[in-house]
Amino acid sequence: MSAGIREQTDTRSPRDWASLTPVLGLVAILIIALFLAPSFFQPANLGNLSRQAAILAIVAAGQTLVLLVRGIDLSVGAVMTLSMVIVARVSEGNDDQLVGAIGAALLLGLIVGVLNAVLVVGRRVPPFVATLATAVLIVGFQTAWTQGVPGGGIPSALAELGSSRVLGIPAPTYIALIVIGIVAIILKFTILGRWLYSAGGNPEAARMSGVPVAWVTAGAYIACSLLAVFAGLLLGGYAGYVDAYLGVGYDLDSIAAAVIGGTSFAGGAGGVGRSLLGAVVIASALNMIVLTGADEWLQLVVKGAIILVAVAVQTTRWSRPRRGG
Amino acid sequence: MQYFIVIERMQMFNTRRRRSIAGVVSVLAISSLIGACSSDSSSSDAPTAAAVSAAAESSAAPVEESAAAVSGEVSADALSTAWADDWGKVGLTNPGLTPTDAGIVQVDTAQYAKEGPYTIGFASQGPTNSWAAIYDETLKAHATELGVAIEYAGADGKEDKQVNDINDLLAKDIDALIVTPMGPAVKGPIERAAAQGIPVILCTGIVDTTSNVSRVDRDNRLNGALFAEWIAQQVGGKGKIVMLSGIAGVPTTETRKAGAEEVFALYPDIEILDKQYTNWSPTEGKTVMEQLLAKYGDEIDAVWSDSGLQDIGVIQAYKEAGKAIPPMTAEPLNGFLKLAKENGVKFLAVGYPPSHSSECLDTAVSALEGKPVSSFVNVGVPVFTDAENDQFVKMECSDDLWLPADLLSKDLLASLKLC
Repeated sequence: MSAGIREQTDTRSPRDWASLTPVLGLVAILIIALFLAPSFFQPANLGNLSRQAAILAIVAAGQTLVLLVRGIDLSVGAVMTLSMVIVARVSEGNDDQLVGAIGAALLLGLIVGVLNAVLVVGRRVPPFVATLATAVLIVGFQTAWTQGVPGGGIPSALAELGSSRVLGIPAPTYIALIVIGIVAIILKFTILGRWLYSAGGNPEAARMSGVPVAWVTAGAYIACSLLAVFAGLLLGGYAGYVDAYLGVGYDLDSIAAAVIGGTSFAGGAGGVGRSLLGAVVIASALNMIVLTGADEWLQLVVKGAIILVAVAVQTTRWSRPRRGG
Repeated sequence: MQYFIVIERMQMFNTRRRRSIAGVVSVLAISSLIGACSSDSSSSDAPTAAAVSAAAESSAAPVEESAAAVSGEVSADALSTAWADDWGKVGLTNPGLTPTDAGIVQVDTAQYAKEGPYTIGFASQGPTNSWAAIYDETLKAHATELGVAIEYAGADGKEDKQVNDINDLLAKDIDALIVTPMGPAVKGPIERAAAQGIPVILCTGIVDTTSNVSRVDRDNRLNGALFAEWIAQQVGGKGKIVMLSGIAGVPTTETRKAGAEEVFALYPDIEILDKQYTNWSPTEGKTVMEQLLAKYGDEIDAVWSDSGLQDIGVIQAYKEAGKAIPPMTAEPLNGFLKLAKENGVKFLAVGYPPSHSSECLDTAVSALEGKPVSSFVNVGVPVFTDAENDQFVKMECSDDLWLPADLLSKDLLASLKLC
């Protein structure tokens, strides 16, 4: 997608054919689209597609950080929705309160991230259970707070950001590339990145070599929640409407994007560049199916099939090189 | 904030095994706490108003004759009236559809007659969205006016919870039961209530049972057909359209769509370019419409849509593409009406106001007073076009307000931050 984003490949299996699967998948989708949905390639559609993929890719970048430390975060969808509701309620649709409102939403992200981290790192609750509980908690809090009525409004500056285009390309696409670029650079070139990979790859060894594994893991959860807040704001700006179901589906889609990209559930292997590619694969497939005019059920079947294939390819991969290290 | 106490409690567990037990217990505790706060994770399936009737509403399915019916005489009921009148409200004529023979009868309720004051059980969806929140509050407010006590149970949109809710309500010595069915499984408890001599009113939704005294709902087939006939007139009987529906497989969605397809089948020169589902989400509506615009460009002459929710996204997609916005069909959701007014969009809106829950209460009270009630009460709804929008739209109120809201008190609207 972009220069400046490098794939964070697992150094133990650099030439593994599986790392090519998302690329092959994308090529396959493009070839199918050529025959079944030629309008896929129209500039207007590619612009839409890039925005759909961009927002998912931001969430998937956060999800990747958590997956790298052997975790999973099922609360990102709920965080996306609640951050938008917070912005709408705090700002009441006024641009001059936007900064404060975004601050409140980021505070929410911080609280959720810390809560996830405390449960997973501090209390050793399995990440799946901990983040699922947090997700239910957030939805419950939102319903109790809003009584089902989101209220407020989307500030027009945010709506502008979510839906404007620069040189024909949606603004969220640029923003996603910048955010993912920053995360990729941190992962690749800083000590934080190295700590993250070693904490996920082999926590015991990392601990013995002085990596603050607990803090690194906690940081991954917090970063993931903050990125979800960010994606929620962009999606809300795009929607221009306080949608109480905004982030529904993004938790599983972000995991799917990361897994399709080749980030391992077993931790320590993968990267945000790959997840970006995974997000592009998912968004392209879904976009193409809508364009072919296929039924709703087929959209779900295709999404399920893509994930299944990706996981199947991946499992065959990490059973081999993992032990040899 | 109680949940943090739960987490604090975990500090007392020190060994690893106890910790894991504490983890599980705390998760369970958190979940149940949230349940108490009427959360609803499953409401992802029911993102809108109309999804209240997602349960099992289908006007195409015949309403079986109520077991309580004594008179087989078909009355001039509200459904026939709606089928006769609603077309004319916006200058349309029925293109030849016949109302579903719902076997509607007048039900003799003498067996339920008793002296007040009444206590009526209300097994509702629970306030999982603005439509459902208003729906509940309207019924409660109307009960206060009538001097009726309400035993309320909100199901969080969940069928299994509602089964328990109804059983709990039956234990509370209620005189009548109003149910907004969340799914077919509530049939059992409803029949149990009927067997105990309690009159049951189905309010927005249908269950495969004959034991209810009445059903209060809107004929969604008529809504879909009205939408389609208006679209046909807008394009002069010849043109290309797209159809945007709510949630695949949900009866409200499919009944509206089927009603529309019956009408479009009468117009061979109308080509349906595409049919898509939008999950009643403005966000998805916008995404889908952007893609349809990329595919069909200026070919689309009109948009048949089953709700105002996705229309919000449709209008935005057109605006951002810089194209003229075509006529579309909608529900009177304030967010849509505002956008339509601001952008001069031609539309037909057929209402589905949540305040009709008060009619359910009226029907229940009639049954307890021994007055005959109709086995199906069709909810009268506003049918209007952009020409009358100014009578409905409330520019100063929340996008989430469903109109008309005349029956709702100012205090209620303010407490829900709707106006």
